[in-house]
Amino acid sequence: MSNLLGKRYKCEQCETEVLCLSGGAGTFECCDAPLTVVETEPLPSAD
Amino acid sequence: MTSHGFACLEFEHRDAIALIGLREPATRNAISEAMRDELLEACAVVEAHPDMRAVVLYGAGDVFSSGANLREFGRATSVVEARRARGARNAYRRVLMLPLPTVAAMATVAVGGGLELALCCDVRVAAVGTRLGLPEVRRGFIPGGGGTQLVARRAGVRPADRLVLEGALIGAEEARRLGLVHEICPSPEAALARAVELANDLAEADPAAVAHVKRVLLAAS
Repeated sequence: MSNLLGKRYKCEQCETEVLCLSGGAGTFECCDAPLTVVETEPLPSAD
Repeated sequence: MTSHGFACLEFEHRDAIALIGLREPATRNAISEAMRDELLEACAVVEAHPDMRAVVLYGAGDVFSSGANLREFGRATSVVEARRARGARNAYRRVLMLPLPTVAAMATVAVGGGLELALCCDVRVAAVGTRLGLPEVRRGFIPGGGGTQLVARRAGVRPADRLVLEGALIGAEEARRLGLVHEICPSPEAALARAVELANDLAEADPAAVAHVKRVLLAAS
């Protein structure tokens, strides 16, 4: 898993959320666990 | 270059600027919902990154954008849902409100939502031969990405009325005469290079001052 620019990552334990400003091969971790990607809310078409 | 997961965008951090390229070659860089979502993510990065001081917006493959992806239209379940979705993923407004200088490098076509996205930028350069316009009325709807307001703001009310009501495409030279384009370059490559040059120049200004003056300029319109 790598950290992707533009994605937000969240700690499921303490709810810390980070925005990745520069991607890389590493993995964000917090509270001894990898952060999970914050998925965008699915929305219907706007048009 | 930085590692990113964008499927519809190119993204490069070069010196003090971010280069964001629209990339949907199969549709001549039509602005899909996925692309709009990625633009929102890219804007969040640009706004938060301490070393990014300006943005260049271009189209990959020497085409700026053919406009919104019309195949995605007509799928909203209700008017209310459509409005909610539009407000939640308004990439046009996000670009317009960026507190950094933005420069659009247009080439080949910049129409409909594509032109609207370019109009959300502070400076616009175009390659010779670029066709620009807001043809939405000819397809039965209106420019919904701010074009009706932004053309009037950039070119004046009379040219805006004509451009939006006629829905005709104009060339780069006429666009420059109207104030929709600031400079014309001999080729798509030259337009992108000039956009980068302008962005680097704009990036030297004080970021806080730029953010404030952009807010004031928007409020003045």
